[in-house]
Parts: sequence; C-alpha cells; structure tokens
Amino acid sequence: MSLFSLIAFAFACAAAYYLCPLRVRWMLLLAVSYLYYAYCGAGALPFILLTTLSTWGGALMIGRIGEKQKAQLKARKAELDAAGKKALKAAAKKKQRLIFFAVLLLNFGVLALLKYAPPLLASAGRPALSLLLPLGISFYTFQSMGYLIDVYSGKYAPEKNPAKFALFVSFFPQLIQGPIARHDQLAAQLLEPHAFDYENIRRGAMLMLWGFFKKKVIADRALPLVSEVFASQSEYGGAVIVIAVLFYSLQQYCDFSGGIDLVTGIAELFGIRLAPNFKRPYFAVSLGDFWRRWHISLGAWMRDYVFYPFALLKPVSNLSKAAKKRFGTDFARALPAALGNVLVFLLVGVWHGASMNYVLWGLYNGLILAASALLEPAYKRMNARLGEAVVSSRGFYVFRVLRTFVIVNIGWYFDRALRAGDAFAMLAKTAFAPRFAQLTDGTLLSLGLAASDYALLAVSTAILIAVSVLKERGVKVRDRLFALPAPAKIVLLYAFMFFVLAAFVGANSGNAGFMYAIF
Amino acid sequence: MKTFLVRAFKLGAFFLGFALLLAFANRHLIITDTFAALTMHEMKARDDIDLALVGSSIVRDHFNTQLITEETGLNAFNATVPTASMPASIAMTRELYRTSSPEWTVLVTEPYNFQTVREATEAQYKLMPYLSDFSNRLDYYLRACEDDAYYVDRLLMFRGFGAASPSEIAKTVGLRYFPEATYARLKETIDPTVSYKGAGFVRHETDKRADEEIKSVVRKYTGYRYELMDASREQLRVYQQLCQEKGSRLMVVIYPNHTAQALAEPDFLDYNDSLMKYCAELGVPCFNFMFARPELMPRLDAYFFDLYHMVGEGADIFSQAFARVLNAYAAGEDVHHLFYENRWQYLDSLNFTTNAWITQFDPESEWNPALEHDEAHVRALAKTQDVFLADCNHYTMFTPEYRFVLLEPDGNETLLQDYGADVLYACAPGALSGRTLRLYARIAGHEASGEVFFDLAVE
Repeated sequence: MSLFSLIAFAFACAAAYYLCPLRVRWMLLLAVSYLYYAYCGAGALPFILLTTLSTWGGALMIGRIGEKQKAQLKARKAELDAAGKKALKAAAKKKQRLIFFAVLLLNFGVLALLKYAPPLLASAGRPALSLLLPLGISFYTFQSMGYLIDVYSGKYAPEKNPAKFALFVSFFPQLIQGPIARHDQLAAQLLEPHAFDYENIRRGAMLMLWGFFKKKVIADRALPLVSEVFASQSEYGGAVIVIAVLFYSLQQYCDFSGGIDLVTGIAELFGIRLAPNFKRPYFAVSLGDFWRRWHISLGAWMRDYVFYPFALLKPVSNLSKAAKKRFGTDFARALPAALGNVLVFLLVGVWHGASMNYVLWGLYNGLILAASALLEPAYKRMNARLGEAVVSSRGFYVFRVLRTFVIVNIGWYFDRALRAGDAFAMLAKTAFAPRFAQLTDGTLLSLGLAASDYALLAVSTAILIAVSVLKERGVKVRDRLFALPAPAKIVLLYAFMFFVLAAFVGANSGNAGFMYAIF
Repeated sequence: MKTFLVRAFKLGAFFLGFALLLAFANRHLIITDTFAALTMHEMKARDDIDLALVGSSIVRDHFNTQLITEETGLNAFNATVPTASMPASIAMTRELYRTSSPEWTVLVTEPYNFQTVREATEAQYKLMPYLSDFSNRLDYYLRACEDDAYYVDRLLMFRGFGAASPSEIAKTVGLRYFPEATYARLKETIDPTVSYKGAGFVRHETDKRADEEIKSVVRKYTGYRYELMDASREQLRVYQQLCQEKGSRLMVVIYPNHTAQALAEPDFLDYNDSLMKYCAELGVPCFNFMFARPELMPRLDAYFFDLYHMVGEGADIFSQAFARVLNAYAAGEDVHHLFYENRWQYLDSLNFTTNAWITQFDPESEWNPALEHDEAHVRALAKTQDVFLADCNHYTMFTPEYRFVLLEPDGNETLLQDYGADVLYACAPGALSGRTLRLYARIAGHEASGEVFFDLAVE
C-alpha cells in the first residue's frame, strides 16, 4: 500500500470509527487492521494469526495454571506444610515454564526461520527458499512475546478475549514498523471507545504531515546516493564515502522516525497515544544516550526482557562477585551492565540480518557501551578535573554531541555495507584514500541526485534541524504553531504543505517502502 | 454543535484555500508548449470548425489546414496535443465540441499513440490546464491515470513540469492571457524553421532530412503481435459515441510512417489490419495512408526530417491526398481503388531497401533470430575469422545483395567483395581494426530502385 493510500485509508477508518456506535469501535479497529494486513499480503495472515493465537492461548494457560495453583493453595491451606506448598508452586511453575518456552520457541522460531533460513541457505550454496518476510513480523512478534513474558512473570493477568488480544497484536498503524508497545500501555487505549475530538484529528494530521515530509521529501530523495555508493563502494574515495555515510544517517533516521511519526499521527486520529520511539537521537551526548533516543521501544524491550534478566542471572552475579575481589567495587558493579550491553547489541545486530556486518555492527556498539560502563569512574574523575564550568559549557556539550555523532556514523559503515569486507574497505578509504577530486569532478552529480536534489535536501534538512533544535529546547512545536495568529499559521502551513507536495519523491521516481517494514 | 460547525467550516475553508493555491500552481507555475497553447486558444475562440482533425503532433505538422480548407470547402482545424494518446484525443475533441459542431471528425492514429493504454505525462501539462470544463478535466485525468495509477503525480503537474525560471513562468502566463503578443515576442527566440500557421497547423521548413536517423531503424525480433488492445477498442468506442452524440461523422485515418518502419517491423502492419477490421465492425470509415497507391500520393520518405515528422512540402502532398479522399468519400464515391487492398499488395510495391547495416559478429553473444543468416555457418567462420554480417530493411519476397568496400580516410573506396549472394564478409582477425567498412545494399533484379550504404568503424 502506497503512503498516500495508507493516509487515505487512515482517514477513512477514522471517519468510520467515529460514526460507529461506541461499543463496537474496537471491533472496527480490529476489522480494518486485518483488512489492511490482508491487503498488504494475504499470505502473511497465517503468521500473524499463529502469533496471536499461540500467545493468547499460551498466556491464558499460564494465567489459569497460576489461578488454579492459588485456588489449590487456598483450599488446602490447612493440610499443606511449607514443603508441600513449595512443591505445589514448583509444579505449577514447571507447567507454566513449559508453556512459556514452547510459545516463545514457536514464535521466535518462525521469525528466525523466515528471517535467516533464506540468506543462510543461499550463503551455503543451497537453493534459496523463497520465503517472503511478512510485513512487520519482527514488531508484532516482539510485542506479543513482551506480553507473554509479562504474564509469565505475573506483571498482569492474561487477556481472556482473543479478539481483544488480536487487536493489540495487529493495530494497523503499528504493523508496519512498530513502535513495540506494552500491553498495559496500549490495550486499554485500543479498547476504550474514544469520542471524536477535533484536537486529536488536527494534531494527528500535523504529525502525519511531518512524518511524510521526513520520509518522502528527505529519506527517499537521499536514498539513490546511499544505494549507489554502498553498492559500488570500490569506485569511490573516502570523501564520497563520508558523504554517503552522512546521507545514510539522514536517510535512515528520516525513513524510520518519519514512519513512526506517520503511524503515531494515524493513531492520534483515533485518540490513541503510542509510545515515542525517537527523541532526536543525533543530539545525544554519548552512545548510551543515543540508544535511549533511537528506536526507544526496542531498546526498552531489550532492557526489560534481555538486559535485566541477564544481568540478574546467578552466573553473572557470581562473576561480578569474583571481579570485585580482583578489580574493585566499581568494576564489579559495572560488569553485568557491560556484559549485558554486549549481549543486547549482539542480538540487535543479528536481528538486523544474518550477515557478518550486522554482527560486527552489534559488537561495535556493545563493546563501546561496555567500555563506557567499565570506564565510567575514570570519566567521572576526568570531568571533575575539568571542572563544572567546562563540563556544563555549551562548547563541551557540542563536543560531546559531535563525538557521539562520529561514533554512531562509524557504526553505520557496518550497518549499511553489503558485506563486512566492504565496511572495512570503506573505513580504510575514509582514513587513507579520500580522493577529494571526486568532490569537484562531477562524481557527486552521477550518484543518482541532480543539483536540484542536493538543494532540496539542504533546505529540507535545515527545516528538520531547526524543528529538532526547538524540540530539544523543550518547545512543543505543534502547540506553538497552533497558538500562532490565524494569518501567520495559515501562511506557515500553506508554505510547508506546498513545499512538501512540491518536493516529495513521487511514484514515478521509484516507490521506496519503509526500511524497517522488512525487519 | 455550533463549535463543531464552526471548526468544520474553518477546516473546509483552509483546505479550499490550499486547493486554490495548488490550482494556481498547476496553471501558472508549469512549463507550456507554445504551439499547444496557441492551438487551444484559437480553438476555443472559433465556432466555425467543420472538419476537426484530431491526434498528436503528426496531425499538427502534416495536415495543412489552409490547403485542406481550400480543397474541401470545410473549415479544417488540427485539434492536437504533441505525444497525445487516446485520452488526450477524447478530451481535446470534447473541448472542440463546446464551441463548434464539425460535420466531420477525423481521428488520426499511429501505433505509437493509439495502441497503448498509457497517456504520456508530457501530454498532460500541454492539455489539462487548458480544458474548460471541470468534468472534462476530471474525465481526462482519470483516463490518464487508469494505466499507471500516478494519481498524485498527475494531479500535481507543477511537480513534474514546474517552470524552472521566471522567464518560463512569464511564457506560461503570457501564452495563457496574451497568446498572439507572446508568440510574436517568442518567435525571435524559437527555431525559425518552425512556425504556427493558424488553425492548429505547424509548418516545418528545414533542409534537414532523416537520412541518418533512418539508419538506426533496424529489423527487430520483438515477438510482439500488433493485435488491438481491449483498452484501445474501448477508447475507440467511447470516441465513436462522442462523435455520434455531437452528430459529427467520424473517420479514422492511419498516418503513413516512413517505409523503413514498416520494413523493420512488418508485424506492425498487423496493427493497421486489426484497426481497419475493428473500424469496419463499428461502421466507421478507416483509411490507411500507408497503403496509398502512387496515383493518390507519391512515397513520402524523402520528406521526413526525423523518424516521424515531415517538412511542409511533404505535409502539402499528404494534405492534398487526404482532401481528395475526403471529398470523394463525402460525395459517395468509391475510394478504395486509391489504396492497396492489403499488406501483401503494399509490400510487393516495396522493391527497394530503405537502409542497411553491418553487425560485427560476437561469438560470445546470443544469436539474434532477426538476422537472416545461417547461424551454424557464421559460428564456424567466426572460430578463425572476423565476421561482418550484412543486413538491410527489405520485403522478404525480394532478395537483397551486398557489396563490401573499405573506405579510405580520403574518401576513396577499395572493393573487398562485390555484389553477389554473399551476405557476410570474413577476414583475418584484426585485419580491419581501426578501418571503416562500408556496405552497399540493393534489391537484386531491381537495381534501378537504388542502393543505400552504411559505414562501420571497426574497433
């Protein structure tokens, strides 16, 4: 479905939603979500149904076993001693664990099979499987498994109604590329019958326009240059490669965050607030800060369901204790976090794809974060030596932002390169073979972008940065815009809307989908 | 409720304002085709058109409306948009019918603008801003989008065809509101060999001929059958209905392309046959001027200045022939004797070749089934020698013969192989590297019909 069709579909659904009786509104959301999914590829329906039913059923069974065990404990309170109670609990937990791991294995197994079997078979020289990755499978799998883990750990009770749970898994704006929502934050909103609110429509539409601008004006325009240079890196010197990496920074951010803005705006049309997924990541002052601002929902998922459980594992705890004796308290305290970061980013790297460049990208990030955690006391001492005035100065802030930007961009070499070898070659050329002549000999105009494209990108990026700076300073841009006097507001909106319509990359120039829709 | 209505009104006003802004951009901030603008302006101002000639630039350049008017006594007008396909022809005809009620409507087609469901986006900016009725504009837009579904790109024309400079905007605005004065001003800057002669006719007066371009028209094996598409049939039905509603008599004319086109793609003639057959089913008279006999019109190849368009002199000859056919047909006379009865009769008349070419055979490449050579023989020779294959566009019932010469830098020729049955020239590997090989071709037994040549710079 094209972006325009998605937008038109969203407004049509919103109109139908508010015309529906209150009590059936959530059912309408479910129906249009499945309609949307079927339209995007009916072949993907069995996968989302499998995830929905297995997770719903598994969570329900886990919940029932827990309830039954509680009821048994209550009924046999008098006759059971402590050992008997413990045995009863252990038996229940065993059953729950069995179901939990079965569902987990089934869902992550399907995801892994679809995601990794074709490239692994192809790299082994076997005939490639023609498995098409269902739209948004990673996102709804992560979301569903998060719910399962929460139910298993007793955070909340399972949802009894399969249709209501199906809506939580399939809410159509989220299906494309997240954000990965939590059941306790989203499900109630989806089921609540929202009354028509003009503000929701206005604010949602504005956010959709902003997302469209980021995706279609910036990301899609920058795409040809990125694709060309990374596909034929051997033809270009370091200077052009640096430009391509910077364009990739811009393109990837605008593609992903633009898409998230769009789906968040669509959800707002229905009065539903999705969790933020980006918070101006290129203003981050450290790599850790960057990953708290980039794909926030995945980061939070990894933190809650991988990082913490791993850090609290007994062997890790024992290792920490052992390290304390040898390296001191600070090191021992930071060690679980350091190991956890390496593990998390290794997993995130593998999630990106079954190739070595992604593994290296994950390791690169994980190791830097691990080093940061282990060296934190040293940083603190260094900052203390520099003094509060320097550390809190604007210049130091800019230095930290730029330093983080460089670190992140080095990572993008591995993330975007077609092969790990390409990434190393590109890094080497960046350092030792810049070939500056390519900046002036017309090469830049042979990378799929005309001079007018560069000009449009410059203007668009300037707008993006200006708005991001305002937001970073705490300005609520939409509120500020709506508070302007009517003539100024209209002129600004007309100018921006006209610019977006004039500058977006249209269907006849190639129709790029969302990058993360295929993850 | 009151608040809701006020907000709804404000929202409506906001989007209406924005729609007007877009309409302004679509109308004034786009590039403009000078002759299309002049044609539209004149067409809208006239209510006396008796003979509407509808089509693309082949109509604009080849139907001398002044001459046709003199010959037929009917006020002729070329209602044309360059690169137009059927959607544009339908829209243009609707526009013409707003002010005039022509006795005749002549739809002029060629495979390139009829046998397609795709409307060139270039046609759209030349036509759509000038259509008077909203309904006609909407209908044209929807028809144009039917195949490619470029709904947004076609709706926002200022995106793809935005004026790039203030002078382009001035031209667009000038041609829209002061067409004559603007054209008078523009005349000094545009190609002096092209001029608008009124009633939609654009005359080309140039010494340039398509001799070089024709050399690129080589026989292709496309495997494509030129059967009429369902969409083309449907569009013709719509067009017929449009004419019937207006009470205008419809005639379909197939425009004569350069002979090289017919010889290079003989299947192309299938399209003409299909269209004529379908017109007969619909009860619409259809004349294929590709099949015009010499007594109606001489062969026009010498007048083409590019692969599709003729200079004014050629347009005059063609217009004369067209007027003769129209007059005779309108008077109830049988005009069929003026045309070859079928493709075979027509092809029998082509006892010459239009152009030849040489292919240096590459043993690594896939065999081209369009080549009239013995593959096994060529491959065997190529094992030890460089092989140059001769070819030319000709009717398969005639046998071509070839002569190979070496063209010296001073223009002198050294004979390598004289006219004969051999259709290839083989030599020691690299013997001709850096030299120019010239091929002469003619039809055996019809030497008087002339010979053509082709030069190959051997690598």
